[in-house]
Amino acid sequence: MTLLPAHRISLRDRRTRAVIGWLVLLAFLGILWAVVDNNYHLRLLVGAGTAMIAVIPFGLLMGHMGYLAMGQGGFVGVGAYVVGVLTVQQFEFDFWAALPCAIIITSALAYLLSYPLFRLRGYHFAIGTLAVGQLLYIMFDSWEWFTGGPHGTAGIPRPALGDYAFVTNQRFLIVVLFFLVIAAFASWWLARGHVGRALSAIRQDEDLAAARGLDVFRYKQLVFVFAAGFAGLSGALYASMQIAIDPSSFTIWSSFQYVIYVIIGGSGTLLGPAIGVVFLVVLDQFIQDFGKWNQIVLGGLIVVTVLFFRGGLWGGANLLWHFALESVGIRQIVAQALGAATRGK
Amino acid sequence: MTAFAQQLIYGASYGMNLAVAAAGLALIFGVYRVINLAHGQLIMLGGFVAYVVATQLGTHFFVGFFAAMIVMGLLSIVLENAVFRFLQRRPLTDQLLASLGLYMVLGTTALRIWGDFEARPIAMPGEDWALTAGEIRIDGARLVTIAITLVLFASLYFVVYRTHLGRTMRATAQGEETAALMGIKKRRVAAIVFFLGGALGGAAGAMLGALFNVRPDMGFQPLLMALVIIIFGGMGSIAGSIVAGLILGILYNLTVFYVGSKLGDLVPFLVLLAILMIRPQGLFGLPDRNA
Amino acid sequence: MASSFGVIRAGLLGAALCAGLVAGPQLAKAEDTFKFGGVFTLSGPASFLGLFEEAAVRLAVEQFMKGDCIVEAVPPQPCEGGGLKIGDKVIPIEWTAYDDVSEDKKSIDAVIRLVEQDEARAIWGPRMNSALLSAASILDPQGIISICAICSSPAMTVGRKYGHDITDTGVIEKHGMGEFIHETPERLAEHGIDPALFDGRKKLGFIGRNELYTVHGSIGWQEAVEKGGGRYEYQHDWAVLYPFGTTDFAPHVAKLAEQDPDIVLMDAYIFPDMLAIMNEMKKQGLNYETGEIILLGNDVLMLQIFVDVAKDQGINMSSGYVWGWQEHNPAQDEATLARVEKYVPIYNAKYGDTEVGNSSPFDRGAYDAAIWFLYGVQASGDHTDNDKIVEAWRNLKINGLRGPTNEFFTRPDTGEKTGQLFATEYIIGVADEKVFYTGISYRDELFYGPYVYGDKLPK
Repeated sequence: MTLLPAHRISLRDRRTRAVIGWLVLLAFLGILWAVVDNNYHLRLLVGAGTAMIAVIPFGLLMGHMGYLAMGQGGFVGVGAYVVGVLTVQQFEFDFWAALPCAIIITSALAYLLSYPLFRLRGYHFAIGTLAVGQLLYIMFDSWEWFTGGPHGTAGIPRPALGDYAFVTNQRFLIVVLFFLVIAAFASWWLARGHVGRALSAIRQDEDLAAARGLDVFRYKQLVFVFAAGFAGLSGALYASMQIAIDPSSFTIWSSFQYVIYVIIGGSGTLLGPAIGVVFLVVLDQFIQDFGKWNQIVLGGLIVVTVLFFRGGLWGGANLLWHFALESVGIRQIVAQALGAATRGK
Repeated sequence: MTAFAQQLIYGASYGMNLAVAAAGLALIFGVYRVINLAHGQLIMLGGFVAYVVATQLGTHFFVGFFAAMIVMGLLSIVLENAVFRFLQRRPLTDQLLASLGLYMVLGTTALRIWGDFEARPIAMPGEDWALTAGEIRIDGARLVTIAITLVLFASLYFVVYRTHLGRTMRATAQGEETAALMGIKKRRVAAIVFFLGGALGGAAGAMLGALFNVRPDMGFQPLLMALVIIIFGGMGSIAGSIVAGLILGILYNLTVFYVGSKLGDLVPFLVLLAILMIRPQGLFGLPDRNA
Repeated sequence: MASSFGVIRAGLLGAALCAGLVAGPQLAKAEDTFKFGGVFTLSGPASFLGLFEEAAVRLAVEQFMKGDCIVEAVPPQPCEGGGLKIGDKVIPIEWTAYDDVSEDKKSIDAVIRLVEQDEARAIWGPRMNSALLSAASILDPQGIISICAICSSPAMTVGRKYGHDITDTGVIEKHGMGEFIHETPERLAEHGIDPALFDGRKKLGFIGRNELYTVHGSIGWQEAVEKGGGRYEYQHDWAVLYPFGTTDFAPHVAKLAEQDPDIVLMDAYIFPDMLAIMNEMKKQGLNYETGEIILLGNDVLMLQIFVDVAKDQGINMSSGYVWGWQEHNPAQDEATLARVEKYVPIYNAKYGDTEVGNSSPFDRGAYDAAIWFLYGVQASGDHTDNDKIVEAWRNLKINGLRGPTNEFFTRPDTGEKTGQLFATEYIIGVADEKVFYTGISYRDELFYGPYVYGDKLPK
């Protein structure tokens, strides 16, 4: 399996750009990991990486397939609580033992829920998932003997391999980056080939796709469970990152957050949502200075992005690039330079 | 039994308020096919307008009430012009997100202006009396809001089904292009629909504010309930809103009373999931291709 | 090869992001200033609590730098301006505060930012429950002092060497109310209270918003009933806890009324909630105006301004059946009054016209706490050693705006000073629309149970 067949490597090719974008993003995170010794910045990276693990697969559901789910925070919460309950609240599992449980339980839940939820579409699906998210939140809050209720669960361990404990943010970032690569690769693998084509057929006209004999439900279910499984993984890492969790981390607003990442970064691509996370994390550092007004800045930014940058940041970047390529004439200059280099080889 | 009846009454009164909150959302969706999450903040701001006019300027409740309706109607037109008209043909995701952005902007602005701590009462007729039958009682203020709700719904029904304006709205709802061909001015209908939707939000805010004090977070619970109600009642159905609002309000109260106070919030969502499974088009809705 | 374009572009994007991430001030290690930071909720639904707390701490740092502390340490400490007087050096104080937007993750981000980037020695907040527990697990191992003046949570201090809670907690408060309802008729009469006030009353109720503060409140309320040995009945799971965002309180109050309580403790602290609950109570046969029930409330209920607002909404709190507590010494001596009179105009001039608003007892508590801490650092003689600071601070007392001689609680089992304020609860009533101090107060009796001190919080 090759990521990119040689003949397809081209400036105009979407896939080329995406692969390069990914490599750069991962390299960028890796370089930051090596360079940044400020624990606060590392912490931001851990947080961003954890969010990306949930957001990239979620982007498949929301962007590629066009199903807006407004309860993803609930699945992240399930993952976090499974780890919290297994490692602290009820049993004393090792983190590595709890982690697969988190993924399995979240995926199983999503599998069961997919039957009723995918009888719905559009707005109904959005509100149906919102209801699921809210029900899960209420469960975290009310099922006191199991989840700790409003007390939450504190003392969730960081993972370790033998004597090497991933306790510091720098070490924990290795774990997060590892899973991030898996999440990104798995999403990429799923989005290519027949699943990707099915998703885009579903987005464009589901009835038509079904009429042509596509088993749309299976594909929808697959993507939904896939996104939920990674949400559970992200939640497990979130719990370990935060050390303590309580229901307030998994409200309706946390679900909206994932949707915002996707839309700001650019829906319909895999890289877009990841860029959305990085952008909002960085932006947050700047709008801290706006202090009490930062919610207004963020809200305004969402409105502006939706109105004027339909492809989000990644779409905007591509558009700018095309513009530069076509009208300014850079393309010829660089192509000549590169052409010369290629011939030289 | 008394307790049960009493909860029915409380629930019905709360449900009527929710129905007004939802009707604005349903109307806009029915004609314009946009879900406006910022409606929750229109409810809240309606409460504040009523408070400023009725309490701070010392006028009557009804002056504040109509001021809330008018100001929120106008604000709603502004939002339509600035944001929603660009979103009509865009995916649902975009509509929800843009309105979520507006929700954040409006909510934080109100919080910054008015703060969270103070009590902001609005005096309303009927506050000092109640109807009683045995041990069951209905507060005058709740009766007044029920009466207002009925009047609002009756007028809305009249406007939509008995006037020329209503016909144009319904025509637009059935197919915008056809309506345009028939000479209906699209922008004008949009403005009127958004005005009415915003005004209903403002009315809900004024009533909720008068019954339970005005506060910056008062739009959240009614918004969630309204999102559920418009599905439950059937998207875009006004009659559906009132029936669904009543059922939801009553179920909420009964759950709090008989099951547990923390679990009241479960009700709308369980009801919602149930209705989505059994009858996705809602009580009064027609089967919809997009449902 | 042609793909270099993507690399260049993504590289530019990366560089921009990199600049964003790395462009924090890289501070030198030399501690010629004392760095002190805070995490507050300045926006979002609970911002009113964060706003005045941050305002008061900021003002305290400014006043300390000006050399006008208003509040005095016991034994006395100099307040000469320019900063902390350590030996013959004067160390300026640097205050940094971040907003957590009511999100746990952001508050922990901010805690780490303060520790790692701003190199703060002490951190004020965060207040939210899970953030508080997460913050503890970050700060305690590094020996960073953790302070809160409105947290009201046992998790601030129990089992924590560096945690300080400069207020009472939800548990201690309820212990105070518990003492009051078990008071003898003689003592009540002695203080001008109807000696038959509690006669024939047996069943207790509890209502509050569903959050950790009220959960602890209900636990404390049950502990107080158990301590009283069966005179009253109450169980933690009777508590009526309404959800955030509740507008119509009728069903919740109906649930409370169904339990048919004789005494109700209302553990709410937001005016609109309290007024709505009190209105509904009257309508649903839980009438505290006629004595059908006794209504007990907290220090917010016993604010004169609340009594005035309630009166405007037709609620009469002067029936003799409404009682509460406050933590600020109401029998203020002249010296305390003079301090308050000096402080209030300064605070109001700075914040009165902003959204923070005018001074209330709450910001005075936070101001006291902040000055107290700064005196503590000074008393340690070494602002670079947190163990010394904690030791010196916990053994220092203060004559503050809340009253004379505040001190930290000493554990009776080990004799160690804890980080918990040895708070006094003063029983307050309302008569002729004015709040008054009954002359009854409790302190030593309130500090019992695993939620007040111990090595670890119960699970």
